Amino acid sequence: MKMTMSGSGWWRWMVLVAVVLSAAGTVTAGDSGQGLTEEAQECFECHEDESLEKDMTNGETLSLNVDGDLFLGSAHGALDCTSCHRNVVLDDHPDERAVESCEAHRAEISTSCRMCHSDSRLQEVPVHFALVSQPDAPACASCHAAHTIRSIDEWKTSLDDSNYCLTCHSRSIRASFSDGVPLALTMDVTQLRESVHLDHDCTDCHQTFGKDAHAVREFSDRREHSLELAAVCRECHDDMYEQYEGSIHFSIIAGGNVDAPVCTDCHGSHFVNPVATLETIAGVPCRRCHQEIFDSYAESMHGQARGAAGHIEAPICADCHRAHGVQAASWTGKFKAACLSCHDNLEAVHGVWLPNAGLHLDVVACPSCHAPEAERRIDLALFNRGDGRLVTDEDLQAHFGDNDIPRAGGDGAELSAVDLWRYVRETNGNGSGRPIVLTGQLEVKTGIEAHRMTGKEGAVATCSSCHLKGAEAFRTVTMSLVESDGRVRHVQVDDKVLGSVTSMGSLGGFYVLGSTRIGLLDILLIMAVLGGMSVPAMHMTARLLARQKMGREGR
Amino acid sequence: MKKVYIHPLPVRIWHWINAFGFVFMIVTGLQIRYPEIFGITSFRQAVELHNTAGFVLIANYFLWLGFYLFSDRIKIYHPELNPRKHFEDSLRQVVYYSRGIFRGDPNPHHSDPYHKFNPMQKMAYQVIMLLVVPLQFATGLLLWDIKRFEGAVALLGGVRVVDTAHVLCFIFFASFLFVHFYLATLGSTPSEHFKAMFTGYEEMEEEAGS
Repeated sequence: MKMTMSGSGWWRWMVLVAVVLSAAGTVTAGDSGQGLTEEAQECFECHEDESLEKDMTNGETLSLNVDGDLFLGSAHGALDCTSCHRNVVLDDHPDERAVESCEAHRAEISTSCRMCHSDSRLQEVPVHFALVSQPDAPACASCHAAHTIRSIDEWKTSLDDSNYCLTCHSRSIRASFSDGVPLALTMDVTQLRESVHLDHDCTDCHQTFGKDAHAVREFSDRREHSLELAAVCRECHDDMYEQYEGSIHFSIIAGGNVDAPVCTDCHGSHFVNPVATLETIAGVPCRRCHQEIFDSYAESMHGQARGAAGHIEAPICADCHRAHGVQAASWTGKFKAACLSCHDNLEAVHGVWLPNAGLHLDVVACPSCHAPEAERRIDLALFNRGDGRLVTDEDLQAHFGDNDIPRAGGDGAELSAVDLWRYVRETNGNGSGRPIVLTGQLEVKTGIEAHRMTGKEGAVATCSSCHLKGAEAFRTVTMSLVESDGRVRHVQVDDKVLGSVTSMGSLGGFYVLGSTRIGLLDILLIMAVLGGMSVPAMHMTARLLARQKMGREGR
Repeated sequence: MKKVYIHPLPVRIWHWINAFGFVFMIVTGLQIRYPEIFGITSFRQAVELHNTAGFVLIANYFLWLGFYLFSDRIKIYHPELNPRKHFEDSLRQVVYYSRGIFRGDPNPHHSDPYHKFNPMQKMAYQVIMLLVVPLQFATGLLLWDIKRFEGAVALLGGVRVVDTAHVLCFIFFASFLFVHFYLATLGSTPSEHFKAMFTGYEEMEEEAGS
């Protein structure tokens, strides 16, 4: 039944009935032993009617039915209805005042809450106060309910930790960072239940929160918040976190660039995926930052095998780069090991057709041949044989100061053979053993190209692609230097260093037949051959002339 | 004229294997070092041929070394321990090649089975056979399998240094071949020394009164 709340005759009749029923005790006393107030009893004469409704302007229908027993048992059971419904004038009720929506109705009534629950009381729980003080904070009744409201002690504290949290965080609430960017604080309960952390309580990770503690914290931005929370993962995943601490991602953050990923960037925060979902073409988290490289990988034989062909044993990002101890691509030597972990007979397979296969595998990065469309280059590096590390900016600073460290190319400056010789000499100092050596490898120019791997059918297998003066790969020469955050910087080097006699003292360990030959030796060869031919020729000519002369003189 | 047995058979075998081998090594070496200029064969085949011929020459070197170590003919390489005599003999030979030969003077050096080389030849072949050739072979061996010998290669300063030493030896031999060939024509007839290296016998003018 839908009643139209109009007509003073009807109202008066209802009041009369309510009084009679109240007297008959149809509205029972609550557990407290106290009954409803007279006013409430009067109201319930009508509002216990389950069919009592009001149409909202937006088309919604608001039920006006209130369960008297539940209300009496609520925290507000002893209050008059008009204590909250302050806009109701009993002498003129029901009125025909239009209300926009159910939510608007709740919001309007909720303003009454502050009559008793003043700011000073709310501030006793600062985070709650901060929440309800937001301009678009939900109406009190949205969380606490209207007529069935219970005291916090009765309602929440009996819940387990997670459900305690979800009493608020399952609702649409948010906070803001100092930079004004909002942070949704709403948890999707369905997602939480699908997470691998299903059995965890919220407080296992959010350790500074609980039933007794909910501090208001200030974060300048979302990233600061993520960085702080990521450290919590270590509580359970210490081994993986240690690997992460050795990663390029961690180094970048330690170097001040907080955009590098932390645990939650890959694994998610509340919906922590099972590992299996992270190791799929669709689910691998690396692509969020390395999309171009990932696209290249997806086109490769590895990506095709993993994706379209469904071979789970085909490598995906973490299989080569490792999941937590992610390394910079260049010069770690670990990438060759990654290839070898699957292609364990690599040297034998290449040795069938490739002379010195082991040597080639040492100094030629796999994509140099197996990414045949890629542009290639020679990359040099100052390598410390003592500790197995590349020389870093800090190492060079110790010898040369800030101003003499080679920066990335782009300004046209290139390192010369003399520069390289000087770096090797100075970094080795006067110590014995000369642990710093300049070595080189053939690699592709970009990580994007490096991932576009193909099988042996499409790979480069012609010696002349490298063993030829002026071969494409040898026209671009760089030197890798490790920056403070662990990333590798490529500095342009004059390609003439490969054939310079000066490089004998610095680049002794890198030499490619045919393509890095020393030009001075070519000149020496020409002179020697010419000398070897001309000296006998001149001697023979002189002999012939002398013989002719002696013949003429009759000797 | 008398015939003197100067070149024993093992030496003649060693010599001709060595001669053709070095020419072969120079040709394949040029192909390896200058693939953009020489297109005789592919780079890979040139490397394989060069390596194979290198091992043949190393084995051949030990044939030469074995023969002389176990033969009294090693005297032909014995150095002149008297510096004054060595200097005078050498000077005499230089004067011959730079002046006497043009005037029809006789060669001051007379070969016999135990004095095959003139003082300059003796010094040159001591250096060549005991220093340059072994250096050529040793560096070639290291370059043949750098990975296998990486410790030794690193000790010597790296592959670039080893290769440079190998190429310097190669440059020397490329030049030496012309000189050696020319000197071989300076017998009593231009072909005499060549024939002798096949037959073993050199034709010598008989000493007066003999």
